[in-house]
Amino acid sequence: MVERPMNPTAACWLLLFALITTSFASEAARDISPKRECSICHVMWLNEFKKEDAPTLIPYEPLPVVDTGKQDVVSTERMCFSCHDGYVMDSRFAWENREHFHPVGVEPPANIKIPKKDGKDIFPLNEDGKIYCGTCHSAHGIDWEETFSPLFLRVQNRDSSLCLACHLDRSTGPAEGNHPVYKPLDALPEALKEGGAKFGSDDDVICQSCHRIHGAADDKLLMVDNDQSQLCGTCHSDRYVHSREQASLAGNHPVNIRSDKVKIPGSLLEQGAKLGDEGEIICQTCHRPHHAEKDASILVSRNDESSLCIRCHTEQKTIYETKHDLTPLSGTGDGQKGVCDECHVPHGGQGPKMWARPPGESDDAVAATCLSCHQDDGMAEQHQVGQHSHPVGRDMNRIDNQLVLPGYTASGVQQEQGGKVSCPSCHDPHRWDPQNPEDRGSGTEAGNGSNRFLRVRHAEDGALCMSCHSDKKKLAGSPHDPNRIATEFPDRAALLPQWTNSCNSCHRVHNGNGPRMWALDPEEGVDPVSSTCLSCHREEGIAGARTIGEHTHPIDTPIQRIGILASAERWIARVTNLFERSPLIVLPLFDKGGDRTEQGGRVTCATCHDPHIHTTGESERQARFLRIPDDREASLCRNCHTDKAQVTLSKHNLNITAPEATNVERETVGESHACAACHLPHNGSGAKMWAGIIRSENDPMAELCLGCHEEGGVAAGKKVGEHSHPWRVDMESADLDTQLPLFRDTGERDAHDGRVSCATCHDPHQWRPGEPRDESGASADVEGNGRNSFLRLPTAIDSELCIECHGDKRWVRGTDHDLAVTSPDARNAQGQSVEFNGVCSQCHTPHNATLENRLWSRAPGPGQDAMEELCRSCHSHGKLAANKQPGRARHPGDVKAVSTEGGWPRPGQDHGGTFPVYDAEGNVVRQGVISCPTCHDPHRWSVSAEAEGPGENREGDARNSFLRSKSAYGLCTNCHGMDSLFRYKYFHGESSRAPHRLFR
Amino acid sequence: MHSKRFWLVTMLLLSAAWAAPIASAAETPDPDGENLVWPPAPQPTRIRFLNSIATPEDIGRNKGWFRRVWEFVRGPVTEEMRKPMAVTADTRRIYVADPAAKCIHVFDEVDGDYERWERVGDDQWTFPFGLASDGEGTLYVVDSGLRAVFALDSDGDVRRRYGGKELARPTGVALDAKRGRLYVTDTPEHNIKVYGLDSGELIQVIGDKGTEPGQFRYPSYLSIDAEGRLYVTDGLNARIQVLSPEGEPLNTIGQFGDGSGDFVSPKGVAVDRDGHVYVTDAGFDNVQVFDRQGRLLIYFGTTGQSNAHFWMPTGAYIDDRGRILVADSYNQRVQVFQYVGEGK
Repeated sequence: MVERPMNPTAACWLLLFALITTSFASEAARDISPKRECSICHVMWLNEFKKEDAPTLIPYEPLPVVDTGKQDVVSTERMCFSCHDGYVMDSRFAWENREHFHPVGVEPPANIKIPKKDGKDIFPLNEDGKIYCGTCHSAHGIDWEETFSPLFLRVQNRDSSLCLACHLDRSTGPAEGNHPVYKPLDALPEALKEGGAKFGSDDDVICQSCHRIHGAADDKLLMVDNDQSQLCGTCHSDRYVHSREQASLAGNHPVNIRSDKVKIPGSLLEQGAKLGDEGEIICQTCHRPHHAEKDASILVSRNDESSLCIRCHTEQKTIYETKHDLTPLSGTGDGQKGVCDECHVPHGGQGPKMWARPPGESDDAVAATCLSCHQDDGMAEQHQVGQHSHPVGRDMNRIDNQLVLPGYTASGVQQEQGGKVSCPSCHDPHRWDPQNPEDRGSGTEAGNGSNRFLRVRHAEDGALCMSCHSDKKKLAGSPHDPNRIATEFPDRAALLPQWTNSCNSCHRVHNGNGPRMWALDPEEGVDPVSSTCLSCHREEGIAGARTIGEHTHPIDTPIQRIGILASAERWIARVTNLFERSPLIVLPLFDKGGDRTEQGGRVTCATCHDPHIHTTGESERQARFLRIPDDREASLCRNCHTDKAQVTLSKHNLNITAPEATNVERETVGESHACAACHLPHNGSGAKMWAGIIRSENDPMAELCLGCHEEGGVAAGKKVGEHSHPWRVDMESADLDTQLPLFRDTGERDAHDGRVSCATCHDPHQWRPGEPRDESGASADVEGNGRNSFLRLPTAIDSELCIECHGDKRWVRGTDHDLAVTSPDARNAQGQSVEFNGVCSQCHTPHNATLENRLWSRAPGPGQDAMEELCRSCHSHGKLAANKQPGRARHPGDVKAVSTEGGWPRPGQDHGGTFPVYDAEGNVVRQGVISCPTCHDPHRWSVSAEAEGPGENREGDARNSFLRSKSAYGLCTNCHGMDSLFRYKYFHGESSRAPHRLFR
Repeated sequence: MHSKRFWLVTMLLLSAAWAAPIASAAETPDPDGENLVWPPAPQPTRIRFLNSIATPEDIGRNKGWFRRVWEFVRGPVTEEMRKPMAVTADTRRIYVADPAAKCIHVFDEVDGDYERWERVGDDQWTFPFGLASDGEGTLYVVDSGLRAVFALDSDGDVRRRYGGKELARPTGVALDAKRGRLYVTDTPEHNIKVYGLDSGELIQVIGDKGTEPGQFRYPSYLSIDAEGRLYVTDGLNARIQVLSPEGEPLNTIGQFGDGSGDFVSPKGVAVDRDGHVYVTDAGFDNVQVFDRQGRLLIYFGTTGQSNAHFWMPTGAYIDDRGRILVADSYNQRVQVFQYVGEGK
């Protein structure tokens, strides 16, 4: 109300007006007592205003100007609140939030058509044609008994019918761009009820479900604040989320989050899209409950062909017209489904990427989505990845270099750090050409490394591959560098049309011919990993000059066979690792399918070789792509062959003893490695890949050994001599048994059918038996003895090694024939004592024996036959056993005895068998002379006791004395019959051989 | 000047020049407040505008260093009035009932301090509407929502509660300490309920619905004079009824109308030490002053937001010092005038 001093002119007009009013309205006013009910509100009807001479406390103003515009004085809020201020009722609190009122004091916009009845507006405007309280409200003409809507409304507002009388265009549903009304709700949201929301007769949505006409909480007369889509969320709680995580669980487009990547374009905001107070994406960023586009799911803008999606997701719009634009294929041209919808749906998808083709429980949702088309009977059936394809699901963290390509979570979210390899790691499904966004492809072309939805152009240098596999750059310039191969072997390279750039020459990222996505034809019959290598390294292959030969290091064999317990983190040698301080390096092992294994696994080419590493060796000759530098100490070999590593601590390490010696490859160990003196991993000879020239197939191992241990060899000082222990002995034929290793002629161990070879007695890799760390043999000058000398068992002093085969000779120990007992200081022909080389060595020596017969190690004594010469090496005048000479040492030499097959008695054969007889050379024959060992077993003191000798020089008698017979007389009676004693007496008595008259 | 002569002259003036002097008295206030006096010069001043209280600063509160620090830490405190509906005072404090803020504002003029009583016992005020003070530190508050009168001590703690279910919607309250009577208007019941101040029991119900003397239509505010006469704002009868201490109707002041001395929406009523009756009117946005016989003496105030203007004034109270306190509800303040009195 405005204060106005009453001036004369105004007074005149007032008077005039009062007169006119009085004259015209007097009849009507007469019935309305100004002192009665009407004037409680209609104060202007009071008489004072009608008297020209009556001063009034307030000016006569039937249409006062108030802040809502011109309106009748009775419907000013002052009029209402003069009573409804608490003492009758307090209606003022419905009028809180004055800024959120149905507008008054304004003219209705052109699109509002106020309905008429009988030619009159049902909802009248004020005199200025503006909306005022009385437009909707009236104290008159309403049914006071009506309890439904006691708000003095001009029309009942059941089911918002009053609202819709003017705002009918807001009720037309999504087809016309409006939120649905009269749609039943499953449950009435509490938040709305508390806010004062009303619902329709059938619990359906009406205008007042969202809007509150007076005192609303938010703009647009909204019942609940909606700056964060809270109002939307009261009903659409399944889509109302507050974080990406919640959105992921609900499979919905996230709301109430700010996007760092996506910018909401200004043009969209101009179209009516809204953002939250902090710039968040909210429901109303995409949707408008009113004024949305028609037939567009109340979207701000129609989403035909995903046109709305790409307003924000601008980077993805390069998908249009590419082969991934599936709209022509899917045949859904109704505008509801678009380019994006083929893979993503904003509501009801799965996971954070709202997958439209639910990948289910897949641990790689994005790959599952790709493969939903790129599979048999899929839309992209002709573009499948094949059985042998680049792996997905690998941890990106395994790659050391700074990542250029992205990793993904299981649900398909791109990661800035880490994540798993998936299809979009290499491919950007939204962009055909990584360098030219305008290039969308023809839609039919297969594409090439420049496009194909790749993230990085796959140029000649393999840039895409190298994004992750930068360690493979070491390939450049190496013998494996395809460009170099193409230059050096143009004829061979020409056979392979794909020989184009570094990676694709060997690998095909999808549809490979074998494991490792191998592009070539893999070699048949070998493990999948090695087969890739051998597809080149074979006679007719590109690397035909670098084949591995017939005798090569085993592949496709479990590592545990050589005692390695392997896991992805650690290798443990069952055999003591000689170099414990440097733990074994874990090398790749593979399963039968060619995949790397976590536990155990098989050796393949790739176990030792990394075909992409070219750092080992300084020369081309040494470029062997080895994972561990194969240095002179054989670091690579000994990483697996822990049981052979001690060879480097022995004379057999030619770095120590013969650094100048070369193997068949004409390499010194310094040029290759310690093992290469004897073994070549590839192109060796024989089963053990010998590095020597093998002239015969009889015993290549022995030949290899003798290759050094011969005149002119590097071990010429350690020859075996003319008389040496036989090899290739068939143990079964020799009626022997042993735990020592036996070997086939080809060189492989064979405990059953094998024969004796050098390595039966010698372990060429270990100087001292049982002491792998012993370094005493690591010198060219050191002289071995029976405790080392690469023997598998010591010979000094108990001849354990000899007895291992010659068990029947073991009882010699402790007898008089054990010179440790009888003559410790004695030396054999080689000057060796018992202490030096063991019991046996005093009579026999395996190498460099004096005599071939029995490998005798002493100078022979006198005798009529070879065996007697052996015995009388000692049992003769001036020799060790000069005091043990029989008076008549010799059985008559002209007597030839026959010894039955089966030989002499064995322990346990009390009286069976016969006694051996010998020819002149000492061989046991059926008919021969009776020599010393015919009656004596020099290795057993007493035939009646299976025991070593007494350990002292004891005078024997007929029960022992190395005699073969158990009984004193059995020895003679065996040949001479039971009367032999008499005959002996006859011949040996005092009268014996005396001239007899009968024999004279 | 003798008081009777003053009022007589005023009445004569009113009668002689019905429109102009009253209009000029109401419509030419000085915005600076120096000339906010009634009646206007050259006549001797009887009522003078003093000040307006909307915040504690208006009574000269100095927050002090510690309070500023505390508020800096805790954040600013809401202290403004929202819808003052009643006002009363004792020797040191002014109390304002504010149902919109659901509290009693307490201004301590002596210490320059402010308190805000938001709780009644363990509850919160729902609709504190009417106030009365015994002048000795006890405040009587009517809460229409809680349907009771609460006697509060100077700390705001409840000492006593009057009324129960028999109160439909109590609004006004008045205290006759001398006779030990507590009057409470029960608006929808159109009567006044009298409680024994000590006993707390309902001892009398005065009036019923109607337009005759002694009857009421929606009564609201109450006041009591030195002789124990009760002044009742009889809302929809648009009058003030004066009752004897026993409840017998003695007189009525005003009637429905827009003339001087009429009412449209009478609200607060108060009586000064000389027995003049002050009535606020939310329809006129003014305060009209009557003598005991109901003759209009003078009025002041009109619609507006500056000093001595009102926007739906409500409760009124006159303290021992003759200060006229008017709750100015939509202006969210209390305006203070001084009754100068006779011969001063």
